[in-house]
Amino acid sequence: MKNPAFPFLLPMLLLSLGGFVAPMGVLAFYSLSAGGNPGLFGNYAAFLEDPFNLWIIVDTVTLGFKVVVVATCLAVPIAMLYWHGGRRLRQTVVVLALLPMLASNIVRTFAWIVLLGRNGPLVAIADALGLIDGPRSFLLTEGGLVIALAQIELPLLLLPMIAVLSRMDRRLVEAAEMAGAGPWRIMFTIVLPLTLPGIIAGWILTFASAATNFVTQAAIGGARLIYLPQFLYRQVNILFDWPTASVVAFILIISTGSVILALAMLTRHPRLIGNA
Amino acid sequence: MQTHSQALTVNGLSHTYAGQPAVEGVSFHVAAGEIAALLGPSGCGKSTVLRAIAGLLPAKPGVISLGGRDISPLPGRERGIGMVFQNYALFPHMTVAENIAYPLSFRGWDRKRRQARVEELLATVQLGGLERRLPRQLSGGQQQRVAVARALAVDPALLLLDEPFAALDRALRLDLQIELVRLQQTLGITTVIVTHDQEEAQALASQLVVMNRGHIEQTGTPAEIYDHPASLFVNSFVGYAGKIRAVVESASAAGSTLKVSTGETLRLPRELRFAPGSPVVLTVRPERLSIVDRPSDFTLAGRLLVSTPLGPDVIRSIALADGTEIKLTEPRDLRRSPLESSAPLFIALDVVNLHVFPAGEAL
Amino acid sequence: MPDFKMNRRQFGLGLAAAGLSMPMLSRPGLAAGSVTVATFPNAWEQAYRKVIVPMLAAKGTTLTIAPALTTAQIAKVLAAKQGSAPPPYDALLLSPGDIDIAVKNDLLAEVDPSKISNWSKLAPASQGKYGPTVTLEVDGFAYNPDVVPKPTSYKDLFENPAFAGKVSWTGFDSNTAIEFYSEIAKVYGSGPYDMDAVFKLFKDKKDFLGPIVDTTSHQMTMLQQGEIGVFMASTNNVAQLKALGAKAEFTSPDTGSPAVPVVIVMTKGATNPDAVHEYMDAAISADAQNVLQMPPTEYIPTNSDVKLAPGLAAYLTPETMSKLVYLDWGTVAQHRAEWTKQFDRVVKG
Ligand SMILES: Nc1ncnc2c1ncn2[C@@H]1O[C@H](COP(=O)(O)OP(=O)(O)O)[C@@H](O)[C@H]1O
Ligand SMILES: [Mg+2]
Repeated sequence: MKNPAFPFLLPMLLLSLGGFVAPMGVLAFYSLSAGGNPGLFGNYAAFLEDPFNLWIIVDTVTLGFKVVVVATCLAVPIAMLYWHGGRRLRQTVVVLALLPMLASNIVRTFAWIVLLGRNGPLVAIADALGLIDGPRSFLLTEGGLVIALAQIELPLLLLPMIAVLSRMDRRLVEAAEMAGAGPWRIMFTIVLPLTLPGIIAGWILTFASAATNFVTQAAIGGARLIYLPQFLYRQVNILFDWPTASVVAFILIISTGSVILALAMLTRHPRLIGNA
Repeated sequence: MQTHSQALTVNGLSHTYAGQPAVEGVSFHVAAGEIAALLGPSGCGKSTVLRAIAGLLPAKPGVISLGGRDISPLPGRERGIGMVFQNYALFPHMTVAENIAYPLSFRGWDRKRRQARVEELLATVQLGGLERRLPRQLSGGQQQRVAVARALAVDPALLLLDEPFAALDRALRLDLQIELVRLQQTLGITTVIVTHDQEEAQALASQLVVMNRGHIEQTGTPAEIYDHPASLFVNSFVGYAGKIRAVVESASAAGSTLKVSTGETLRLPRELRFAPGSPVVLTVRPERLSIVDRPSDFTLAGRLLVSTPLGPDVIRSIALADGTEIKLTEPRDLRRSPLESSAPLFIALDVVNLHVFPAGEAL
Repeated sequence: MPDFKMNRRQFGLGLAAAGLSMPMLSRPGLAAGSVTVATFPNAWEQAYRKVIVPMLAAKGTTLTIAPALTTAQIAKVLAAKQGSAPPPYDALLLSPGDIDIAVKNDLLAEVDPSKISNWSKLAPASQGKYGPTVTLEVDGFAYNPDVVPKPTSYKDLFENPAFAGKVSWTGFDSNTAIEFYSEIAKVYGSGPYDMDAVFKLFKDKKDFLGPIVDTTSHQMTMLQQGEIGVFMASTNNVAQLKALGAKAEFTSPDTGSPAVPVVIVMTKGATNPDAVHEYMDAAISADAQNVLQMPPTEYIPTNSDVKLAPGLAAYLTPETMSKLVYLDWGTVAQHRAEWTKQFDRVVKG
């Protein structure tokens, strides 16, 4: 421990050791040793043997990906609005991006229940456009859940993008302009690639948050769409099957964690280092 | 490879940032194939002028013409101008080759042709073998060369460089300056370079455009500007000049008399266009001063403060009788015994060539 | 109910970790004459603050109300016990199903009726070993008359086309849902625990199934939004919807309304048993129940001195009250995990 900053890091290290690492370790130990299943990984095997459970894992990760895709489609135009806007517009975009974060997740979720419902505007629009035949409801559908989550998690993607954009060297854009590039070319060859570190950071946050957003998954997705957080909640609070719950908790951490890790590795790409 | 060098004319260019005028009424001409330097202290509006020429800022009012054609209405990407930005603005996510090929990708060239052109450019700026590096893996000098190659990629009619050497260390600067001049001469491309370093401007440019506070003070060759500065500002900004305050006592065709702030009287063998009693500032170039043994009509008494050797020369700081400090350079003569510090001595002024400016002029 | 025969040391270790990350588990040491009790959140919590807290304060006892869902109440007491910490609550508010789990895990202490002066005012069924029944949750069909006709039977919900796609259900997470599935099992199957009949019905009558969600509160929102026509609800749910101005009515199935007692129980290791008894006594007193049976709470009284208020009498006809159906929650607990698993597979979209 030659690091001279070590004494200052100590409180944080102790806190994360006591509040995070130790409980996780015990939870891991518990998931391996408690319960009636034989063998070291008995609990895991019992859970993973069931294809139904495997599909829950796949669905959870897929949900995270779908939300990331939709949120990106929403965030890029907004970020470009920010990029091209003057001071006033930029401030407006930042405020509007932050505004949803001031309302709790539960409030936003219930707003989406109204928006996605049989009598909500989205159904009316889709009906008018002929996308659906006759009124129905987007509630309790995966599509509705993805849209709601994409909006709810949008600030997590938008804010890192804006952070990168606000620091971006405008001369790079001017250099592209002098090289003969038009506005769209500049956006796709310069601005977006340089925003990528922010986009990836946003993807990580959005993915992690969407895949684990118990409240919205339950309220918009209902009981027919089952994801790991709902499953975990039930094991803990309804069935009191804590050995299985700890297994599910670890599988949730591992499955979302490995996606996050993979995304984080992307930012190590030599072309992305140092340009954010 | 360059054939179509074109003359640049800037006429009556002004620009304001949010109501704050940054440049006003800037006009100058750069002949085809020449290098002009926009020279002036930081914040005087050099970059603004350059960006207006490039088309990154509107020239309103003002006319910018290239090869006799008014390019003011064109957007930057259609002006056919190559630009090297301050700190180079290389695309950090692209390799050297990709950076250089970037302007070529808008020309509808096939891959092979682009590749050949990139190789040619890499050879021109002596960067062969580095095409796969990313900008952050290059030294400052190498980055500058990539920026130059990128600016030259599409055979521009005009090359603009904004402080291209500012980020480099001194030793490297000279080499790269020589290299740039050679390259420019080979290509014969009309070039405008922005710098706040007057030595650099003199070393590079055949024509200087000296700016101060948003307007042009003087244009001319480096020698004209050095020897015949149009203002006290130019005189002090381009090369060192000692300044001595004085009051005109008499001025006639036969000669003029000045009462110097030290109390001494100085006679100039020429007519000054100042009324008697006018306060003035005399400027003296260090290399035009000499140390003499005895006083005369064109000497001032002084005291040596410190001597600093600089290569073949020695720079002496001298305090006049009233404390005014001036500098003097003379060849370092090893045979002569060194002057003692604080020894009283007399400074002979080059009364034919020294400049007299009104004292009210801002520095 | 999964087996809990893991060895004590392992469990203790796990809970110690849980304790580290759950500061909620510990609570500040309280002065004598004070008691911390868990109640359901929101309406219940507010009503008890208004009615019961002053009654105990008059006797010099400080009552602290901590809102928590029943499952969370048990989880926290269980966690504290396994971590060898004192229970976070002195008394809980539970239904028989939860009491069963709590008893199995040895979380509750028996009460001493001699310390509860109103004990004799309760019907024998309400005089529980672990505490008094303070109200009954009476369940039935909540429906929106603008969307569907008045439902009368379970057959209606699965066979009358007027209800196709309009009836919302919840999974086995919800106690209310289990009561109804048990009733459906009686109608379509061989008895109250024949859930295979229910699952078969769900598979056969897919078109009749409306939205399947996690909790009753989601269904309340959806009924309000006109999204659904019917869901299984308590009289309290309907009262709450009406108070919000929603179009909602309550009706009992022809086979009788499932009912669930709500019981105050004392935790084992409660710091101040006398104060807990005082709290129970206040909760079943005629004074308290007279207030609590009025809107907005409308909790059905269990004290025989209390006359049913007109608001409640509208739902609770003598016929309804005479046909209440009770479930054996012990049996439910045995099968719950299994049923949950099967239900997931039946409804998975
Ligand atoms: N984008 C801008 N917005 C407002 N003021 C600016 C902007 N760019 C430059 N200026 C101001 O205009 C003046 C000239 O700037 P510039 O042309 O960059 O000077 P130079 O390149 O000579 O250092 C300075 O006072 C500077 O502060
Ligand atoms: Mg500049």
